[in-house]
Amino acid sequence: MTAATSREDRLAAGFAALAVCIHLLESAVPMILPGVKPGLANIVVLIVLLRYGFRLAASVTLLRVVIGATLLGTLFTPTFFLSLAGALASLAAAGAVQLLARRYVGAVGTGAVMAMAHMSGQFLLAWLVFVPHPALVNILPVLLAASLGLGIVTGIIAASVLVRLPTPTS
Amino acid sequence: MIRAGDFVVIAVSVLIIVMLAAGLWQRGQARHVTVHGEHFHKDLPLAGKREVRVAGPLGETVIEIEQGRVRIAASPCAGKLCMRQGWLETAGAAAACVPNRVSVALRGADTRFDAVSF
Repeated sequence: MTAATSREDRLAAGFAALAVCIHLLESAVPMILPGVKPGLANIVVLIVLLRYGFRLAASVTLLRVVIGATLLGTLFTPTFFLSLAGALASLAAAGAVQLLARRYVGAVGTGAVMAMAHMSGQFLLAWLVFVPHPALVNILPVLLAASLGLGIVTGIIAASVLVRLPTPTS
Repeated sequence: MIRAGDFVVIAVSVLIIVMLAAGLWQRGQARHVTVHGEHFHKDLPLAGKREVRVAGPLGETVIEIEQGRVRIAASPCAGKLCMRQGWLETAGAAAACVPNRVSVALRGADTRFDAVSF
């Protein structure tokens, strides 16, 4: 007996696979600032969000976090929980933007908000649970500025991919 | 592909980051300066630009306050060590003209050190 898979399941699986690949490649690149990564896998999530909606984007994000962590061997380690906190915050922000300003905000704005939310969620968990030092919060503006810039770049890439894609058939 | 809302989002984000930075990073900054002389003791705010003249046994020491920092601009002493301290801006930093019995010390909301020497 095979479990029935819907079209949405297959889309989620395919896009998640793509996001996992980008995530793995990115994790091999050394980073200058600790805690700052381009987050290129979010390009896939952004495209899915704007083409297919929030539900599929959430599936792709969570699959990417769990599968990516499994392949990198960080599942259920602090790294994984930081990644998960960032992903959940990023999804919450994406959902809020879609709900409130879907007509006015495109890929660039959504990408910027998602990147900053990701950084905030991750930072909050790190600060409250792993390193509760009062001075740590001083670096937050630097981290947020970096994530804003990288989020805009991600958004521009996603926007330029979106205009080249044919309109979805559904 | 880039919509008007994107610019609004980016502008608001930049504003939030700048406000966050301003709020977080000024805690170590000095808020006011304590000026002490032989017959003179005053707490002065660091805002704005002003000059304070304090009389001592040798003559007049000129203290300059400018946008959150302070220095001893002129003093009638021989060594001029107080003047060579230059501008002070960290809470806790101090400069003194011992021969003329004048000192300035920066105080902040969050003075992390009793004194700072450079």
